[in-house]
Amino acid sequence: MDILVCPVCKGDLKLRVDTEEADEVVTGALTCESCNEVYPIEDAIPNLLPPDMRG
Amino acid sequence: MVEQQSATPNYTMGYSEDFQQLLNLRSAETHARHLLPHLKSGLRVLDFGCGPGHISVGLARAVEPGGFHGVDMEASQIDMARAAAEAGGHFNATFHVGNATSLPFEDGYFDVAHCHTVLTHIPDTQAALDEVKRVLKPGGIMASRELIVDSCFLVPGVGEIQPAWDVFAGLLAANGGHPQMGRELKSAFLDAGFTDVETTASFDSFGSPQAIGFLHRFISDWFFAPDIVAAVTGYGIATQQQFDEWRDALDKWKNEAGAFGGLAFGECIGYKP
Repeated sequence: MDILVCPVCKGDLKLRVDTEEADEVVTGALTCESCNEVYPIEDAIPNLLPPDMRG
Repeated sequence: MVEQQSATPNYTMGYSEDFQQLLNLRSAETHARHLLPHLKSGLRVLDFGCGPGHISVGLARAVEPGGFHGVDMEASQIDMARAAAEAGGHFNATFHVGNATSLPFEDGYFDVAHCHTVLTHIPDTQAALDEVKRVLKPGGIMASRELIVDSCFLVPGVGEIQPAWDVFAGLLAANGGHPQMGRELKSAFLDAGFTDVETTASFDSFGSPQAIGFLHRFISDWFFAPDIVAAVTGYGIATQQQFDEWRDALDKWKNEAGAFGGLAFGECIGYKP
């Protein structure tokens, strides 16, 4: 996770863990410490699409 | 399977079962031949637009234990790619939902970036190449293999089937893509500032009875699917009558003794200075 940055402003991301299994984050979020955008983690997959591109 | 609305409404190929079957034929050994000689253990690789991961797993295997990252805009594809990597025991592989023009990686992290039939679909080629270049280390490799629709063929020519390729190209272009990207790669790489650019071209060919049968089935199911026909007729690129004629010609083609088909691609490798 250390190498991941905000896809929009390239700021550092802070991880929030809601649920985890076997050291894997299943649900949670990555929040940009620069622009405060929130990127959800669902089914253990981080969604790092810019907000305007999310389905 | 992750349920979500498609993030790629204009992705021409879509996510139908037919198209997934075409993707099933892909592997790093057959579809990233231009890149594999450059890979070695320990390199960090980015595969953007990785889809269901059929090429990804071979790239991940080639650099183990180096870190492999796959990115695709569609969560359903990332789900499949993760399953493929886990099934192969490639625990160096990580997958994220993301977009090539806004990559979620720090500058200068990767040794290699790869994509297959991705720049064909991205409207702004230079924006994508600039962003990929950002995440490459100096000296890092960018590799791509993209369609050249003008050079794709079905022979022998049966009826008026050849114009259907132009319609496919028109559909890609109408969706913001670049149907001849494979032959434009060299210029695009040079424009983006990559150096020592190496360019080749190759075909995915369909000559055996099984391969002919597969290609016939794929084109029948995909190109003649209601949503594709609706999109093409909606754009005014072709008429329903033309589709009917092409379907007859395609069925006739399959039964020709000399039936042979090819999908044309250009490949390119370049280096970040």
